[in-house]
Amino acid sequence: MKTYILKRLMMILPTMLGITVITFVIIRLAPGDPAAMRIGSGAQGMIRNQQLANEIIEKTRKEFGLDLPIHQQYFRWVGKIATLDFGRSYKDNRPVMDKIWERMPITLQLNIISIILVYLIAIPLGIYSSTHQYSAGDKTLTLGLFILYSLPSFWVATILILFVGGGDYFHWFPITGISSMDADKMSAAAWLWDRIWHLILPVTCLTYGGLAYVSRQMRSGMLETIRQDYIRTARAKGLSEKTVIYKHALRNSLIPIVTLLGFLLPALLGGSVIIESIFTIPGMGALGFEAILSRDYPVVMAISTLAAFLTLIGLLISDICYALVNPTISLEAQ
Amino acid sequence: MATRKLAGYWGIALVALSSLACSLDKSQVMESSTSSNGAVNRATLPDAMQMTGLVKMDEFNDQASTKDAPVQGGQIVVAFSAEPDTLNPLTDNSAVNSYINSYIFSALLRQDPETYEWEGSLAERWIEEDVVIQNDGKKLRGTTTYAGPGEQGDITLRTSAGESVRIARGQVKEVRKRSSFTFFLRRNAKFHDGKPVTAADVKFSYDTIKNETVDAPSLRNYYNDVESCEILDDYTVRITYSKQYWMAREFAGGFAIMPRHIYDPDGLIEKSPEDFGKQFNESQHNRSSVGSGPYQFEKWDTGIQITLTRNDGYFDERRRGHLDRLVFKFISDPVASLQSLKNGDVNFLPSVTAEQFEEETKNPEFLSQFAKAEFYTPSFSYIGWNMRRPPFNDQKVRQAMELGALDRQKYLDVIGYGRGVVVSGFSYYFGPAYDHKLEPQPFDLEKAKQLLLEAGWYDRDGDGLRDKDGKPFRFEYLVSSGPRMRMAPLIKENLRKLGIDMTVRELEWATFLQNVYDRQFDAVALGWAIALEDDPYQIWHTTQIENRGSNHVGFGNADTDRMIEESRTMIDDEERRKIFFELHRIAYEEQPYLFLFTSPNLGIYDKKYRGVKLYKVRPGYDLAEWYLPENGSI
Repeated sequence: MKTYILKRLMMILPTMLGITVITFVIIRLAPGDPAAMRIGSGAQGMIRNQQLANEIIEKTRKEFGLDLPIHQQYFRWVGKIATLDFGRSYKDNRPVMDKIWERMPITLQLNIISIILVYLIAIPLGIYSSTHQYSAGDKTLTLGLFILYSLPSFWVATILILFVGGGDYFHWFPITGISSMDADKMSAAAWLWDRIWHLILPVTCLTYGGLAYVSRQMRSGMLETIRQDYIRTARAKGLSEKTVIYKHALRNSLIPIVTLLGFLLPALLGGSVIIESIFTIPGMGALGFEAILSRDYPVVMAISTLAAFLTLIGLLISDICYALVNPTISLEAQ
Repeated sequence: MATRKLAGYWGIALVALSSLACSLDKSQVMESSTSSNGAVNRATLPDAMQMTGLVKMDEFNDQASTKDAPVQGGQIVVAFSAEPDTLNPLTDNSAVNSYINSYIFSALLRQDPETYEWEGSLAERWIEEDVVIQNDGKKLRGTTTYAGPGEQGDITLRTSAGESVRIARGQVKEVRKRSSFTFFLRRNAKFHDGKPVTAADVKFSYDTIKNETVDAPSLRNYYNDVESCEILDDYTVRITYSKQYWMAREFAGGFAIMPRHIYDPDGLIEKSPEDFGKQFNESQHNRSSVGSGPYQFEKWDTGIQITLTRNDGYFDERRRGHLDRLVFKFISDPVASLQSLKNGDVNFLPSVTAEQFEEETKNPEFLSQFAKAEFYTPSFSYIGWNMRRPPFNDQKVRQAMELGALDRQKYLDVIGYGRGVVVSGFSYYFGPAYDHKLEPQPFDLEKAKQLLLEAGWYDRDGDGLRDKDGKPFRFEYLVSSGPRMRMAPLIKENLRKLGIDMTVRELEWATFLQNVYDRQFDAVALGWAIALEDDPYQIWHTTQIENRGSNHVGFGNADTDRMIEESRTMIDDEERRKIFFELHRIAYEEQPYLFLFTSPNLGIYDKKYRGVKLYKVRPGYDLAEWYLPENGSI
């Protein structure tokens, strides 16, 4: 086991390099020049003297290191990453990591809550569906979940804002940000309540779509387990149906669900561009999206490197989990 | 998507400063540089569009009465669609930045948004002098008068001290009119931390702009022709230009004055300019500005809002704010921002879509609580033709496009809900440099066909498309994703009737811009945010054609260049505007652009606010004037 983990960890390095090379090249291939964009979008427009304008652009390019051949730029970047220096944002000259740290907790809050909710709701639903296979309840549930699954989140978000966000209909929930304006002056309890209040709509939008996927996984896993011999044995030896389902079948059918968690790690940090934009939540999704639009290479690279790293770690964790929950799987043999 | 939107507004107090910087907003308006001064030529404007004169207070608010006296207190929450990157007024040139900074910082002068006259802000008074340079290199300052007519003969120079000197014509090498500005600072002006504003801070701000390492290249460009900025005493500064330029006053008096002790505590600017530049670019105060304006920075919740509080020590009592707090919220989604207004989280939306303004806000309940305001700021939209290559290198073809590509009036009436005006040139429609005698040509497909025929474009091979030199009339229309896409199908349809095939190429903003810079287009849809009276150099001079300049269509010749260059040195308003009128006429005939519209800003605000005036200069409002009436009732 230890050797396996060690091997996998060592594999991460070359994989990471490969991923960053590709990301680096792709983002550079996209048209658009951050140097030109930075001196003002009307840009050179502003500058009476064309020669001067170009000097400025050239100077900026030099400052950003964009004048070097692309492979040299890449090595420079990698060299800095090795010391965990992700550089400074082109847009506001702040260290990229500061910007990420500032936004990470917000995205984490949103995503952790919604993932927990997805599991809390979807697992019981999946169990119900499998134990009541083909019943009216199972069918309604399946239909309902698939309808939710197919509703685009930007649409649902807009509808929620229109109907429960005040104005012409109900004013039940706040629709922008994650705290009220004077939240910093509130007591701890009031602050918490205010935060929860703000998170309800975005979390709803992030959650409902995931229900169908996890509950279907749960349902099929459970159905498969129920057909196993040991379940029949359990029933035969006279255990109550409850014990059979919740003690024996559930544990075993959770294996695939547990391994799914590993894949969720990068999603936790990635953030949701659409939901964050609509609800004015300053998270990672919004940050990444803006960085791409403004060709803020250091930010784009930092976020994608982080996401790639987490994906690899996530994969490793899910493999390990798989071995842990099911000792019959031997990683060493692979 | 929505994040590219910038509010597209400049501060009132810092009109000149802000206008130096530029940025493209969501509606893809390119910012041009200048804003202007001086009176308006009333005679040329239609009656309903008189520009000068007082702006009516609370024009859009039926609940306001003259009895509402201004009181201090309360706050306003304004929603913008984009957030500034920093709050540094010199290095960040986005529209939102300059708008918010117009409350935090002040400049030496400000332009009155109603009369367009310049008045002292940090400067209590100032004098403008001519500079006479003698053959021996000696420089003299004062007001010049000439012995002979037509600026001939000996020169008499009256200095500010009241002395008169007569200089023989033969001794004079050069006269630069109105190119020396001496500013006398107010003694009572203080920065938000209580330290006085002195001449050293003015000089520091100027030196910062001029510092090569400081990240303000586009701003710096405006100060290339400034010869010197000298401290005469603690409260007196003199800025001298090396060339005569009609906008010199605006630039000399228009930059934000930054506190030296905050932005350069160690005095690096002289000792080590390069280190200073780096330190300035990365200053922590880029996110917590300290200035001397009517409001001071309180906090910035990244991605959510910036809060300012009233500066009770503001030096100009007449312009001290009434509201305790100004909160600028950043909401990129238009549905969410309108909804926030309805539910009370936001009090003022400076810019909503035409649909929101017309359709989603018309119930009586809404109208009893909110005022809808329509106000113009200088800008226009256009379709630019690439004049370097066929088919648009032919004037007749471009003229045919004006007649047949789009029924502009109808488009405004139907799609724009009748708001806005069709324009025929590049000067601001409501400004002094626009010649209203030149009316846009009405839509006429037949005339357009005639012109195309004259240009040699007709269908020779019977495929339904006009052709010339063996090539069918096909071209690509470059447009960025967003509202301007709406026009594309209509134009395509009209052109098909003319036997022209237009393909639409819709691109994301950064890619779109790259194509414009690289001149990879036949036709391009864009807009300019301009000034009341603009210097045409940037958009129309031939030096701006190459190297990604703003003259992306490739307009101009030696004659127009000469006119543009001459206009820059003309400090006499009438004389200069004669040239601007002439340039307007040339552009009208040449049709480098299909000039489209100047559309109003559509804003909505809560009727509880009073003292609201909507101006015709950017950003169109000054929140320092807004207040909540005493009784608080609506």
